[in-house]
Amino acid sequence: MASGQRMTLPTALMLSAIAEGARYGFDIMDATGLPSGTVYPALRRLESRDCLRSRWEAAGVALSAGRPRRRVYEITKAGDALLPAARAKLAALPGLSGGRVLRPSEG
Amino acid sequence: MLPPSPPKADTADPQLMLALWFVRRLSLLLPDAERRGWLAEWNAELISRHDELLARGTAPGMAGLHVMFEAAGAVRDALYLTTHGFRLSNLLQDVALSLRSLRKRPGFTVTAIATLALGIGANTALFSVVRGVLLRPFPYQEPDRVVQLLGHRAGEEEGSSNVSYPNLMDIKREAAGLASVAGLSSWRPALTGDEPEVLAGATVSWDYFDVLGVRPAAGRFFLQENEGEGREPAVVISHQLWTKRYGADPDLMGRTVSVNNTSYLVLGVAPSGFEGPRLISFEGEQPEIWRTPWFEAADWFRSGRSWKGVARLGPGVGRPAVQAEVSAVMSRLAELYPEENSDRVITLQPLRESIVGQTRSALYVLFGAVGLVLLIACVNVANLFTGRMLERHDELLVRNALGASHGRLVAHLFAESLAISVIGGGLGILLAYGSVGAIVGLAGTWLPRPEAIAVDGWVLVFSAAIAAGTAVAFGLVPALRLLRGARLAAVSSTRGVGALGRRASLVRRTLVLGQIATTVVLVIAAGLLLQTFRNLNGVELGVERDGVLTADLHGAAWWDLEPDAAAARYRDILDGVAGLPGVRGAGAIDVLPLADNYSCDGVTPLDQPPPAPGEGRCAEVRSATPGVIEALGMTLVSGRALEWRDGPEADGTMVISERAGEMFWPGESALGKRAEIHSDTFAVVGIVADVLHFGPLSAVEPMIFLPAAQEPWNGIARGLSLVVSGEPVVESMGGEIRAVVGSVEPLIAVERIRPLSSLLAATVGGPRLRATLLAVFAGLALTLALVGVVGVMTQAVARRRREIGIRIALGASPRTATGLVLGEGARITALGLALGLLAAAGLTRLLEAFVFGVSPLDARIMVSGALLVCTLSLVASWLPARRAARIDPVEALRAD
Repeated sequence: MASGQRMTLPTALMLSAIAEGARYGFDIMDATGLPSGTVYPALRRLESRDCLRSRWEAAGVALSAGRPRRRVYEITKAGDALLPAARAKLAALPGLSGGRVLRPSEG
Repeated sequence: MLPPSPPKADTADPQLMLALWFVRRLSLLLPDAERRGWLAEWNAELISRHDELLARGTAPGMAGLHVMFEAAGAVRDALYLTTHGFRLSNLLQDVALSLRSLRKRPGFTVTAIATLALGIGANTALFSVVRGVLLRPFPYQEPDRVVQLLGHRAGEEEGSSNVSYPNLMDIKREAAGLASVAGLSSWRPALTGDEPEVLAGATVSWDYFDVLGVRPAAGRFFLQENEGEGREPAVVISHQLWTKRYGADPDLMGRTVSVNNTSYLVLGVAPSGFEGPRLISFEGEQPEIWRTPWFEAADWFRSGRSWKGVARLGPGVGRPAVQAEVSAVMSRLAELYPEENSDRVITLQPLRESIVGQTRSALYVLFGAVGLVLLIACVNVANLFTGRMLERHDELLVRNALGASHGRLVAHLFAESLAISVIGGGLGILLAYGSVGAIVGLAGTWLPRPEAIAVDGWVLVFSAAIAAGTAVAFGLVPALRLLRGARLAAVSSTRGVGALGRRASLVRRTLVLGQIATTVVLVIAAGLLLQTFRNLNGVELGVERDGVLTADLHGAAWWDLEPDAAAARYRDILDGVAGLPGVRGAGAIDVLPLADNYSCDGVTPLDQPPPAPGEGRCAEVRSATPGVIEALGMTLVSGRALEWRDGPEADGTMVISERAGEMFWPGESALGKRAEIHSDTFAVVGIVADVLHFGPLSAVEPMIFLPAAQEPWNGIARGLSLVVSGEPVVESMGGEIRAVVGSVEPLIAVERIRPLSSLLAATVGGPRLRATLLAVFAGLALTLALVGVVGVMTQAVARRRREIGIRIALGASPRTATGLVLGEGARITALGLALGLLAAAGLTRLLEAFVFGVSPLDARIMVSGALLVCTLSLVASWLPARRAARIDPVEALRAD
C-alpha cells in the first residue's frame, strides 16, 4: 500500500489482527468484528498490493481436522511496514487502545 | 496452487447446502482463472465455520443461519473480484468500444434510439402534465386544509356550486371548526387612464389571502376595515401586473390607480406565481386584481348566488366534524330565511378536489395508455438487442476464450445498451419539452393549473429512471442470459446457438403477439374518443358555429356616458360593422355563448302564484343589443327579437329561451308574460330555441336576454362583446372591425378578436386533447408493433432458410414458400387480435366517462380497429415473407 494512501479503519483492524495471528478469512472476521462482505474485498485489495500473501494450508492439517483445505493469509514485508501506522490509528480510537477482541488463535 | 477438490461436506444441513449452492452459483460471475480457487476458499471457510459452531454446541439451525448470513457476504467479494479490473479506464474503453460498434450498425442504432426516444418522450410529456396538475402541491400554507364550500339544492350534486355572500358570512361567524371563510366572485374591471386595459379580477372577502395562507410580495393584503359599506376603494394586484405595467415600482403601494374611472388605493402585491383557486373562470386567465365587497354582507341579497366559498379548516379538526357543523348552521339559516334557503345545502370539498378532481381520472387513463406505448417500444428494443446478441455470439465467445471475464463482457454489452438508453432518453426529453406546450394548447381551458406544467427536476428523474430501467432490461438481462447459454454453446458451437435462437425466437413471437394485442386496445380506444369528438362537434348548439367573429369592446370610453348616449354609440358601431361587405348582421352581448360563466340570476314571474319557499328559480340572464340574437344564428320560435325601440325609457322587454318559458310559465305561452329580474320588470316579447350555452357537454339552461339599454350597469354602459356574422370571410375581418370601432370612438379598445368556433373549441378542450393524444399513442403503438412484426418475420425467414431451401429444391413453388412464412405471421396476428379484442372489451369500460354518443363497446369501432391492425400486420408480415420465395436452395443448403 502506497504510503500516501489513507488507511481505512477496517484495513488497520485487519492488518493488526493478521499480525497478531489471525490466519483464515473467517478468523479475521472474528478478530475484527467485520462482516465477510467487508473483510474479503479488503483481503483481495491488500493481497493485490503485496501487503499480504496467501497460500493453501498443508493437506495434513486439513485432513486431521476433517475439513477442506483453507486459505491462509500472512503479512508481507510491505505489510509489516504499514503496521505502525495501523496500530497508531487504532490507538487513537477511544476504547480500542491495543486491547484486542482477538480469539485465541488455533495456529 | 489449487487445492484438491473439496471433500463433500458430510453434514446434510440443508442451510449449509443452500449456502454452498449459492456460493457456487456466484462463482460463475468470476473470471475463469480465479473461479476454482475462490470457490474452494469459500467452501472451506463455510464448512469450517459450520463445524466449529456445531462443536461449540450451537444449535444446528442457528449454525445454518450463521453460514447463510456469511455466504451473503460472498456477493461483495465476488463483485469486487469481477469488477476488479473494472477501473475507470476500462469503463471509458467499454464506452468507446460500444460507441464504435454502435456506429458500425447504424440501422440497429437508429431504430433502437428512435424507438426509445418516442416511448420515453411521450411518457415524459404526459408525466409532466400529471406532475404539474395532480402531484405538484398547491402553493398555499397547508393546502390540504383548504376546502371549497359547495352550494347546491339538496339532492342535486350538479350545477354551479355558487353560494350567497350573506350565507357565507353567517357560516363564517357560526361554524367554529372553520378557521376562516372567504367568498370570491368574478370581476372584470378596466384599468382606466392613459392605456386602458381590461383585466380578469375578483371581488374577495378581506381575509381571502389569509384563508389560502399566502404572503404579499410587497405591501400588505386587505384588513377587516377594507370591507363593507363606505370602505375606501382598495385593490391588491398580481405580481405579473405589478412588474409588467408598473415596473415593480415599490412606491406604487399607497398610491391610487384608476379602475373603472374610480380611484383605488393599491395596498399590496400577491406573490409571484400565486395560483388562485380557479373557481371563477375567465377562460383560463387568472385574476390580476382583487377588491373587497363594498356592501355589508347582512344587507346583501341572500338569493344572489354569484359567489364561490373557500375556507380553511381550524387546527386539529377533521372535515366530517366541520361538515356536520356547517350543515347545522345551514338548517338554522333555512328556518330564518325560508324563501332563500329552504332546500339549500352546503358541502365541504377539499379544494384540490374542486380544482383537479374532474381531470384526474382522464389523466390517469391517458398515462396508462402512454405506458402501454412504452411497453411496446420496450419490446421492440429488447427484440433488437436479443437479435444483435445472437449475431455477436461468436465474437463474445472468442473474447471470452481470449481471457475477457464474463464480468467484462457483461459490462461491455451493458455499456452499449446504456449508451442507447442515454441518447434515446435525452432525445425523448427534448421531444417532451417540445410537445408539452402543444398538449396544454390542445387542452384549452380543460386542464387546470397549466402554469404548473413544466419539465422540471422530478420529470427529469422520472425520465432518467425509465431510461435506466430500459438499459438494464435490454442490456443487462439479455447479456446475462446469453452468457449462461454461452457455456452450453461453447461445447458444440452451432447447435448451442441454434437452441438459444429457438428459445429467443419463441419469446420474441410471444412478445410481438402481445404488441399486436396492446395496439388493438389502443386503436379501439382512440377510435372511441375520436368518434366522441366528432359527435360533440355535431351537437346542435342553437347558435351558428362558423362565419361568426367576436371581439371585446373595452376601454374608458363607456364609463361616463348616459345610457342614451351609450346606446347611440353602440348603434353607430353596429351599423358601421353591419355595413361592411360580407357582413350579414352584428350585435353585442355581455357574456358570449360558450364562454363558461354561470350567473344564475333570480327570476320572479309576476303573474304566477309566488313560489313556495325554496322553490325560487334562476336563469342565465344576459344583456344584449338588437341584432345579437340574429348574428349568433339563434332561431326565433315566436314573437320578435330585441330592437332599438326597447330603449332606456321604454317598458322593460325580454326575449327568453323555450326552456325558460317552460320553467317559469309551465303549460302556457310565455309571450306577453312579465317577470321581475334585478328589481325591474320585463315582459316577454320573443321566444328563441334553446341554446347549449356552456358547450355541447352541458345541460340546457334557461336563458333570458334583456335589452342592454334597459340595464345600463350590466349592459350598455360598459364594454360588451361584439358578435359579427356573415360570409366565412368575416372570421378574418378583425382589422376592418377595429377600424369601424376606431372611427366611432378611438378610446375603445377592441380586444380578443376571435371566431366563435374557437370558443367552442375551448369548451371541448378535454375531449379534443384526449382524442388527439390517444390517436397519437395508437399511431405510435401501431408503427412500433408493425416494426416488431417485420422484425420477427425477417427472423423467421432466416431461421427457416434451410427448411424452405429444401422444400424449394423438392419442387415447392415460391408462392408456397411465401405462404409458409406468411402463415406464421397470420397465426401471430390472429392470436394478437383475439387477445386484443378481449382486452378491449374489458378495458374500454374505463372510457365510459369520456365517451359521448357512442357505446364503449361499439361494434363498428371494435371491428374496424381490429381490421386496421389486421391488414397492416399482414402487410408487415408479407414484406419479409416475400424473401422466402427468393431463397436459393443451393445457397441455403451450403450454409453452415
